[in-house]
Amino acid sequence: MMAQIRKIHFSVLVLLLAGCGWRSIPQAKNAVEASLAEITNQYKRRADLIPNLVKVVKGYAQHEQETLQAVVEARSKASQATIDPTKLDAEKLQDFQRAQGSLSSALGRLMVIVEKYPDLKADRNFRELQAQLEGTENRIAVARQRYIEAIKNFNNLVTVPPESWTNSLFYSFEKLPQWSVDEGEKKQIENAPKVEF
Amino acid sequence: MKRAVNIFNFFLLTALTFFANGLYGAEPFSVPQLSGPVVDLANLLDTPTKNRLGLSLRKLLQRGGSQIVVLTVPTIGDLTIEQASIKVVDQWKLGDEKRDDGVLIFVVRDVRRMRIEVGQGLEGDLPDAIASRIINEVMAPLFKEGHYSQGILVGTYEVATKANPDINVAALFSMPSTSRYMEKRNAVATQQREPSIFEYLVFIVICFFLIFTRTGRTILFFLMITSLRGGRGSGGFGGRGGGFSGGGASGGW
Repeated sequence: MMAQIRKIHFSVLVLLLAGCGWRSIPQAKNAVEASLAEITNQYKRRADLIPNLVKVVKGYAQHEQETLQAVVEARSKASQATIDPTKLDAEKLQDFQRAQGSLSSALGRLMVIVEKYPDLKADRNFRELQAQLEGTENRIAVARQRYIEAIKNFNNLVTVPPESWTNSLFYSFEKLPQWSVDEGEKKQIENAPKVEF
Repeated sequence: MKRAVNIFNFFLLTALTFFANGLYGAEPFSVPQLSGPVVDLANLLDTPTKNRLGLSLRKLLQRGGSQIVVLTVPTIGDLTIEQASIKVVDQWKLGDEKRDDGVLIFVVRDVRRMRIEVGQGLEGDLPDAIASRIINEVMAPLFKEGHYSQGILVGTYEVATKANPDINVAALFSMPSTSRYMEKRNAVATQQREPSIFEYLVFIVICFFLIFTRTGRTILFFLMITSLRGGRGSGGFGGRGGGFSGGGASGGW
């Protein structure tokens, strides 16, 4: 009889924990790490496109050395800024965002000057690269949105009861800093150059 | 008797919960119902094209090909087409769960823009540059002249060909005449033979076992639980868990 009661107690405890973040908190943390890795992955994809893009643009627009140089420099800086998804550090994350943001604005300026070169715009290679770049920018946007969602989900679990009790009892994870769009990037988004075919 | 009432209550409660979820999930641009391979809410397609496309896309899926859906809507509010499109595929989850081979061909009538949203598993076969070429060189020129049906048909065909290099997509997309289509349907119908009396008996015995014995009820309970978790969206043309990460291309006309 006693053993049976104990058994029931144990299963009730397990059920309670299952409903209270025993599994969902670590899962949410893993989701945050995975989505941050996806962001860095997509930024890397963008960085890989740039050498070809610069080469093609150079062929048509020799007078735009300055803008091209800015893109190349921003790219190398952005490639140096890396983050380790398992060790989330607010300051490093900021550096990373800033580096990627300045590459975004350098690319934006490049796409504006492209408008002056109809031959370049008609170039098959350039159009393909442009499509890939647009696709990658969209992937970055999606990845960032999912990252923000993942952080929100995690923060809810560790701050909102009843899951937060499980957190403070067993895991004691801190609330994570939310991904923020920095000032320079905000400006860039507001006057984003419209690229039309 | 009391148990029967309890079970009934349980079902009622579940049904109510789902209903309430549906009510309160309202958003500015709400993702439409995935009713089939062609969801033409903007009425851009004529009926023959709609039927033809629907048939071809279903066949493609049955042959183990990718899950391709055409969606046209009149408006998407103040969202960009990229935002609306990712919202749709996040909810519909087109494509196989493991292969992530879904594609959404999305046309917004009022802003005259379209997008091909490519599932994660197809980004190699259907890269952004190809998607962009299909939009700008195949679909947009036809759309500009008002040939929406033709544009969507040819564009979808191109997408299906690129996404399924191992399948003879051309054969799937050639529309048989109406009479032959009916013949084929009859042929399929006669192929499904009636179950024999023996099979009925087995079925009834299994039902009895599940309902009237203690072990049976336990099994039934677990079956119900598992079907609650995994059964959503299976069968018919529902989404099958495919993932998207924003690949593809957009364009206007």
